[in-house]
Amino acid sequence: MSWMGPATLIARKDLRIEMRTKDVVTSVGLFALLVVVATSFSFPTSGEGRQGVAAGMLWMAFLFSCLLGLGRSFALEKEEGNMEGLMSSPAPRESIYLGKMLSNLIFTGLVELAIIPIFLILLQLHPGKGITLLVLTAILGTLCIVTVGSLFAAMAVNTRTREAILPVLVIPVAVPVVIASVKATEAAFLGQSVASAQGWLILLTAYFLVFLLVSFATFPFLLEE
Amino acid sequence: MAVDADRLTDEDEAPAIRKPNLKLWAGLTTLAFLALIPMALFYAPEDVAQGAAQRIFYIHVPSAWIGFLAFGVVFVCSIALLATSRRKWDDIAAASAEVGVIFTLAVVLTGPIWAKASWGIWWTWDPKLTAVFILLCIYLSYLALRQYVDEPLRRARFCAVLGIVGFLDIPIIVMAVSWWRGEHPSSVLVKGGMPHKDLIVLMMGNLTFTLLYITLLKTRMYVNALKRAKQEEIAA
Amino acid sequence: MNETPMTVTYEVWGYLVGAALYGTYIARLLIQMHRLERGDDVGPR
Repeated sequence: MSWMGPATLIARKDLRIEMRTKDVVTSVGLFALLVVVATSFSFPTSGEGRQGVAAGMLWMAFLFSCLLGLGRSFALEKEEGNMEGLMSSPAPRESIYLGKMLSNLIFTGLVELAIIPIFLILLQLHPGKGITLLVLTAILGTLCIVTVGSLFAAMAVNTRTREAILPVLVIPVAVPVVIASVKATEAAFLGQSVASAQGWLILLTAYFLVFLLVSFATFPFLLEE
Repeated sequence: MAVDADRLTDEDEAPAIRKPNLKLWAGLTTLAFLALIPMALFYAPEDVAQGAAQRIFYIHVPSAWIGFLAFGVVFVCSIALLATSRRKWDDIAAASAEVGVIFTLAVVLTGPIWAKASWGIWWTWDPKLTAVFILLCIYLSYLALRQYVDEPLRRARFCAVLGIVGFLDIPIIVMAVSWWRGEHPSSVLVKGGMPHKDLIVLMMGNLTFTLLYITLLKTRMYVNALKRAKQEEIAA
Repeated sequence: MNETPMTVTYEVWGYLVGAALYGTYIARLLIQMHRLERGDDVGPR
């Protein structure tokens, strides 16, 4: 796999910049936190179906945070004029995609890991044994969003409306991810095990694999001059 | 991929715009509708439970099939575009996407009317209808992308990628939405045990709407070609 | 309430909405086509 080398280099470059500036993680983290706080005011504190509502709220926060991070991540490359530099390097085009995808996965993942405990406390949820399912779903769901999101973000920054069009492109395509992630997370909040939500997890995995392949195949065309 | 950055490749430098034989296709389509409407309104037996409103089915379902067909055309043309960079694939895809929106919109508009008549509520999150609604959203995002990219080759390529991703997503959407509503995908897709007469009218519906699609596609492509020639003329 | 007239109303509405949607689109295309063939510009959309 000759892509991994350059890809990790690109991802590490992003991470190094981020560790210095802390731009993306703070703005995305703050955004995610505020979405959680704002929606928690409208959250029912008791009654049936709390877990379903909570799962939906969590994934709205995750989805929009992920899109925000992706948009900024690619916009930064465009502003700095990095894309031309990356393209003229001997790195295969697929690596650029993979590298950006990995760095965004890590950024969003960190934000999510921080948000989840706050969320559980604020909304008085006790997943108990469902915690494994919760984390697994968060990882898989985010992986899916970042997979198609990176592909579309590379397009979005080259449009007249820049990153603003990213949600328009991603959200319809990502509906299955949202459905599966929310249902699995709901199961997790109800304290269920990984096995009970395995259908949803399989769907997420399939989605990830299909669109990873498609992105690998089509990304080079996006960068052609 | 050695392609001139500013333009898609063309077979000729400036191909003459040939008007397609719209009268023929329009004529065939009209004949088909003249046959279909009486069949749908009178020949097809009245549904015992749903009454006359069930006849909406004969516009609703063919529109859905053609909505999917149109996106399938977008998919195939998208792959061809990425492979060859020939302008014609982008032209067909663009026209098919726009025409496809109309058919998909028809499904999403007639669906609730039918639902209200049959079940008393406008929207039931029925898996099939929900999946078509999401397809409509993907179409609209495709058209939005087309609007907001200025450079022709880039626009063609971006839209091609979206066309490919969107089409491959459809089966996954159907599965996800079906499971979400507690149904099995295959029961969502295939309507088993339809009465003989209903089936005939439905087939006629599919034929008629396919003809309509072809006519609209050709017309749309012709209008787009004229428009582009006009824009070039103004720019020159 | 008598069931049959109710569902006929919905049936009529269903067909009308379909006809209106397709009809509007067809009309728009035809108008654009005639104007372009005459030599007028119809704008980017």
